[in-house]
Amino acid sequence: MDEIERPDKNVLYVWRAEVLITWGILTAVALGIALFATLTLAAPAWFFAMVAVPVCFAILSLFLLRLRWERWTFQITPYTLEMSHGWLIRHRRIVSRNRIQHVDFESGPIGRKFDLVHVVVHTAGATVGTIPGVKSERAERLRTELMSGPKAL
Amino acid sequence: MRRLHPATVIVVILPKLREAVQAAVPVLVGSLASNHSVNGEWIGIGIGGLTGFFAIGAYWTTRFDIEDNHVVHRTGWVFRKDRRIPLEQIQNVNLRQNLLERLFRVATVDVETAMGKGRDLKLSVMGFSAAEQFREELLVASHLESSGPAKAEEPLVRLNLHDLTLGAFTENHLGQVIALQFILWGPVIGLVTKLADRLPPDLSAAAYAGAAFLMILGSWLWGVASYFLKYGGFEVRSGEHAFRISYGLLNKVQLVIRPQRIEYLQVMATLPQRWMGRASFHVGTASSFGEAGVLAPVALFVDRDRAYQSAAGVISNLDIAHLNWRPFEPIFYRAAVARALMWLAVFYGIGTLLSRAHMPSIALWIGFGLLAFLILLNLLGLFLSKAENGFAITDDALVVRRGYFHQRISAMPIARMENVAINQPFWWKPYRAVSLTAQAMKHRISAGAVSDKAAEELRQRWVEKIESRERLKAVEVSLDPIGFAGNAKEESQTIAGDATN
Repeated sequence: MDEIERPDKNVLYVWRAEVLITWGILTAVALGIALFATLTLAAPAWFFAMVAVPVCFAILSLFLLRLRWERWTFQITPYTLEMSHGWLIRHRRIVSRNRIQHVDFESGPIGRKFDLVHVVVHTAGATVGTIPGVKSERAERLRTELMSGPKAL
Repeated sequence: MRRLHPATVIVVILPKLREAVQAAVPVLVGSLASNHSVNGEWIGIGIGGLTGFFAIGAYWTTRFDIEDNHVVHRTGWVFRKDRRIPLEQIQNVNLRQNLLERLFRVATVDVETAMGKGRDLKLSVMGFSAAEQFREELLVASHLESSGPAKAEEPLVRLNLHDLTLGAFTENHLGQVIALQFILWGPVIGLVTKLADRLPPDLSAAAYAGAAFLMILGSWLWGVASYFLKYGGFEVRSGEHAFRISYGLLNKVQLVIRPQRIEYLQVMATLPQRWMGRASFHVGTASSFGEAGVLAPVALFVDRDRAYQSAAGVISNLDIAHLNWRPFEPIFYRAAVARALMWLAVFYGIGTLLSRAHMPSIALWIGFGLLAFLILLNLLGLFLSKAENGFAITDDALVVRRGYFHQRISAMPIARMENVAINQPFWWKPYRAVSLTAQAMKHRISAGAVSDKAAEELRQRWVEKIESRERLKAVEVSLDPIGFAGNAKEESQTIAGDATN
């Protein structure tokens, strides 16, 4: 407790897969539109340049993932859960532990391969945050700690 | 088990039909303007038939009652739904009547909990006296009121005709004006375009400008009339554990709120109201008030000092008139200017593109001109209010004051905060400024740009509050190790529940 923690480093593989899938689909869509426009509507060949936009974003995102991981921290204090992340805009969310209603785990196939889950924290009013890429054993302990309320006494 | 009133069938169908007619009005006006006929009879019959089927089903299958410290509600025939709401989770019990419901002498009862949107219980519709009786039983069972006869005491607040009229004319109706433009703009400009084609260019421009002016004036007057009808007969009465608010000339609303559930308050005043030394006071709980809105009015167009006193009654030691206000960081205003310039550039770009695509350019530029005017007006208000904008952190609350044309003083008890978000764009870092948002169960309060020290100060106070509450809980547990007080409370609730059955 009170120790500043980071998501597991293997979460980088999950994030890379997410970036490749998301931007891969967008690149395929852009390619389809460019093909349709050039073959059917006789658009000029430079129309294919629009494919470069999602490709550039994908490359940029892949380069920034490590920075994203380095900036992601969370800390359980006796009364609060504190989450910090973000590079361009630094987000810090502090949640009162006695207001936490339930804690969910989410994991996709790639996350499961590395034994990682995303820990989703809910209060009565809202979903207050998701801690990405936590080892399942640590996630179980985290849930127990968060659901047991303040621990200073 | 109790049943709904047979008028449910009609009361549920007619608003749906009204919505369908309202949605069809712009289409009808547009088709008249463009000489195209619309054949929507079959669509109308389909919607009416389906709505009628569901309305009959709702009446036939719904049963409800108070049983074993719960409100029980059963509905559905093919897909059955059984809900049990613990009485202790009830936040507000509201009773409302629209014009149609008043005609049939029936009412809708909203039982609101903190479980979130869509989880509240709406009993639509019950006979008026049955609704009143059910509400009273519910209030007694959930310890919101005592079971004795209702006291005929004078109301705490009553809005007289003079103040109601002044309030209606001085209130901010910009929201209604903008919303109505989206409905009116297309059909009216369509009609004016037909007229303008026959006029010389100078007069056609005047026709567009005149139509825009009339639409804005008409929408604003509509806002005045809406306020008058909505808040006519406004009064607040104090109960034993809750206060009761009732208002409405056509659609009647009765709200019952327990003060300890209040997590947010707002003192609001438009520019003319500030000149008159008047203000309105609204509160918010963990649930909304159904169709009556997210905030409940507690005092309308009252003396400003009285509104401040009411706020002090909700959050202890909150003396709004003598708070130590701290200004927002200058980066807050620079960011607002940058945002406004960006939007102006976007609108100018879209306008240029559309006018090149041979859209009716005068109507288009009037539309975008109005949007630009609203953006600049907002920016002007922000700078005019710079001297008064600010925030204050007291022992018990975070208070934020913002706005010039419509000033809002918002406050949230620190003890009710669930989480605090502190964000810092990297270009704010040299200024050591952050944006601060505190969230309670339902409401949130944002403090623009504050210094990182102030954010840390709020965090400290908040953690201290949690700490002291937890220590108090621990003391209670050590004094009452077998939970006798809790059992006694549960028992008394059961007895109250039995008494009402």
